[in-house]
Parts: sequence; C-alpha cells; structure tokens
Amino acid sequence: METCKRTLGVYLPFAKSEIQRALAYRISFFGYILGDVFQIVIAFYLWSAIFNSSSSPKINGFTKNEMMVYIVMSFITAMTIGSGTEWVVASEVQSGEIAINLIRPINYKLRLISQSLGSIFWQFIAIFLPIWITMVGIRYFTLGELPPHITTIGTYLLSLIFSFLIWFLFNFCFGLTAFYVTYIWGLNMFKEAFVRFVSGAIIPIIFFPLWFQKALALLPFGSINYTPVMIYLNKYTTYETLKVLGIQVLWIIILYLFSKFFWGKAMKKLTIMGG
Amino acid sequence: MGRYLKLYGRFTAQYLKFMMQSKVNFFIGFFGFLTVQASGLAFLYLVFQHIPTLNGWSFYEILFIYGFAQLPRGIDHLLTDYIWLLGMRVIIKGEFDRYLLRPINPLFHLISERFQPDAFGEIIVGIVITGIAIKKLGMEITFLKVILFIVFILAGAIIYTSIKLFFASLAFWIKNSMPIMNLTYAMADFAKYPNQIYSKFVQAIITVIIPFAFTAFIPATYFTGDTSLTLALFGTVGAAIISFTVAYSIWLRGIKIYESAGN
Repeated sequence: METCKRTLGVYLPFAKSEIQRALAYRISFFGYILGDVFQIVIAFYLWSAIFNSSSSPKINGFTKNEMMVYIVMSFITAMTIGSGTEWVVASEVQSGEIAINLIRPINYKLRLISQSLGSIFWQFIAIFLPIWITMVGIRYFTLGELPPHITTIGTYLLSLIFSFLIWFLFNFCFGLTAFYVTYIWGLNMFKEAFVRFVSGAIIPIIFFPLWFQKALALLPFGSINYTPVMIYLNKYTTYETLKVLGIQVLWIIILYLFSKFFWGKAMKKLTIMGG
Repeated sequence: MGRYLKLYGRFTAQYLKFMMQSKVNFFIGFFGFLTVQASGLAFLYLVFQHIPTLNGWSFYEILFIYGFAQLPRGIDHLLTDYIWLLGMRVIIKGEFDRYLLRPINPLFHLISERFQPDAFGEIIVGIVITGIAIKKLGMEITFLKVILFIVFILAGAIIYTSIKLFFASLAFWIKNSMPIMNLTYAMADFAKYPNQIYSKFVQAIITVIIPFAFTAFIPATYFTGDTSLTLALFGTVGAAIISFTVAYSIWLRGIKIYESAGN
C-alpha cells in the first residue's frame, strides 16, 4: 500500500502537468481539433451520398444510420487515445535527453504512460464527451434513438482502454526509431495515414477484400480502432466480444514484450553513441 | 524577374544539396504523402464496389477530380512550404528581421527558404490518377485543353498559396497563427469530391469565402463537361487574382506593424 501511494505520488504530477500544458495551449488545441472535425463533416456528406446512390439500404451490414455513428465513434476513439508519445520519445532521443532518464530514479515507461494518461484524460473531457453528447442528443431528438445499453458503453470503454495501451506501446516503439531515422515527421506522416486506414478509421474493415482482412487479423491495427467501435455499435455477439477483447489483451502483451526488447536494443545503441 | 529566377535557383540548389545528404529522408517524406493520398483512393475504390455512381458521378470522374486536386496542392506544397513556418515560428522567434534586411522582396526570400520534395508524393499521385482517369473516360486531348489544364493548375496553386499566406500573416498580429492555418488548410479536402454532395451552406463557404472549390472541383469538372468554360476559366483565374491580392495586402500590412522580438 505504501509503495503504491509513493508510486502515485511520483507519477501523478506527470499526468497533472500534461493536463495543465493542454489547458495552457487550448486555443491551438481546438484549432487542430476543428481542422479534424472537417474530416467527419466530409465523411458524413460522402456516406450520405453513397447510401443515397446505393440500391440497397444496407452496405456490408451497415445501415446509413449505423455508418454515421461509426464515423463519429471511430473519429473520437482515435482522437482520444492518441497522446503523442512518439513525439516525446523521438524528441528526447534526438536531443539526447533520453540519457538523463537512465540516471533518474524513475521508470521511463511509467513516466511516459502517466503523461499519456494525463493527455487522454483531457482529450476524453474536451473531445470525446462533447462530441459524444452532441451525437447522442442529435440522434435522440431527430430519430428518437436512445444511446446504447450501459453494459455496451461499459464494454466499449474497457476496449477503449485496451486500445489506448496498444497504441501507446506501438508509439513508444515508433518513437525509438528516432535512433535510426532522422526524419521522424515524415515517417510519422506515413504511420498515421497507414494506421488510420488499416485500423478502420476511414472505412470499416469489413469493406476490405477478404485476403486483406485475413492479413489484418494477424496485425494489431484492428484492435486500435475497429474493435471498440464495433463493440459500441453492438455488432458482436457476447462470444465474439470476449474474443476481440482477448485479442486486444494479447496484443498488449505482445507489444509490451516487443517494446522491452526494442528498448534494450536502443539502450545498447545509446551507450555506443555516448562513448 | 531574371534576377529572382537566378536567386531562386541558387537557393534551391543549396537546399537540394542539404536534402541529398539524406536520401532516406526524401523517400520517407515521399512515401508519407503518397500513403495519405493512396488511402483516400482506396476508400473510393472500396466504396464503388457497392454503388454504380456517386450522385451520378462515375468512379473515373471522381478519380479525375481527386487526382486533379492533388496537382495545385502539390505544386504549392513544393514551392511555398516555408509559409507554414511564418505562422508557427518565424514571428515568435524574431526571425523575421532577416527578411527585411536583404535587398530582395521579403515574400520571395521567405518562400525560397525551402523547397519541399515531400510534395512529389502528391504530384506523382496526381499525375498518375488524372492520367488513368483521362484514359478511362476517353477524354479528348486538344491543344486548348492542355493550355487550360496548365492555367487551372497554376491558378489553383496560387489560391492555395494565397490562403496559406493570408492566415500565416495573421501571425503578425496574433504571433502564432498555426491553429487557424491548420483549420483553413483542412478545408481543402472538401474540394476533392463533387460539391453537390454538400449542403448549400458548405458549398458557399468553399466557393466564396475560402475558395478551395476553384482549386479542384470547378476547374476539373470543366473537362468532364459539367462546368462551363466561362465559369471555370474566369472563376478560377479570378479567384486566384482576388485571393492573392487580399493575401498580399494583409502580408504587407503585417510587415508594417512587425516589431522584432529580438534584443
């Protein structure tokens, strides 16, 4: 208990400072968010036109209404779980600051995850809740549709936490590539565009050709966005839900081991550079 | 004019030397932008597996507009990428002094700071996609159309540059205009798809207020026979002239009130 309290005392300030930082830069923050909101608006119009042009009311099992929810939920899921860990790691690698973290009496990864939790807490309050409440409100007043059952929301939130962990570990490893690549901005551009697509944030994975879906099943990307959103839409049976949650946990474990391995390798490289 | 061309050549040569130090970085940036565009195309392709036309537009017509949209965007990105730094850094750091001290046009000087080869990702996607679409649509290639195509793309690039310059110049007043630049630049994506799918309100904004519609949809649909030559030509060139005049005068006003943050 004492250790637990002490750990919290050490790492909580990192989360707090991240929230304070976000509050200090909230105007630029909302500038970015609004720019991204246009993506939802475009997707909204595009899918409307697509469904209006389709001869059947359902495309790949999605009704127009479900697709609209899918777009919004996959957008706010992606916006909430991203914490910029890759930038923190990459810039500390490039500036050499990472060396100092080795002599500090704190765990580097725990510090990063505390910072990330701080920013996802802020993003949850500042992006997720307002957009989600607006969506639920609009759908209630125009379609008389109630939000999903509380257990569905609960399962979604659990899956969202798993998504966050997967994405965090993935980005941690990605940040370490700064040991090998100097142009992180360009590489990140590639990563973001690629992951957005294969995680189902642009179009549901079920729209992909079968061979591509099969290939993606062997990769962690679907677990980052598609899984929680499909849970929210109640597209899975209880058995399937447990299965996809299990897959998420599996990916957390795999990526954790991978990040440990990668970190060890990077540290070796650091010693060489340090001379 | 000749002097400026020569100077630009020198600046670019310097920058290219710097870029060549790391060819890997060039390919990374190139593939980064290529992936962004490719995912948009994959989306269209997957969607068209389920519908014959989108609001009456065939797959290749949409592809043509989409590909066309990349060209002005890419050209602007290639040549004037440094304007972004005006919005996010140059004013705050007091770096702007430098541009006022040299005997060349400050805007020209600012722009020639960077030549951005990442943009080839967009330009190449644009050329390939429009090429495929032209072939599949069986479009007739005439001398006049080629000239118009070039004029439209250059005018479109000027519109992009002007919108960027306008919002970046706000940094002279608000110091960091990056958020609003980002916001308005994101609106360019609206022009990649047929404008009829949007509400009248959205259409009005992207045509009249932030005229991205003239960088892609309006000129591109002249070639598919959906927009008249008058609207395409006068609209696009007119929008380019007006937006550049407005942006450049804001920039000039900004320079006037600029106070160095240095010591």
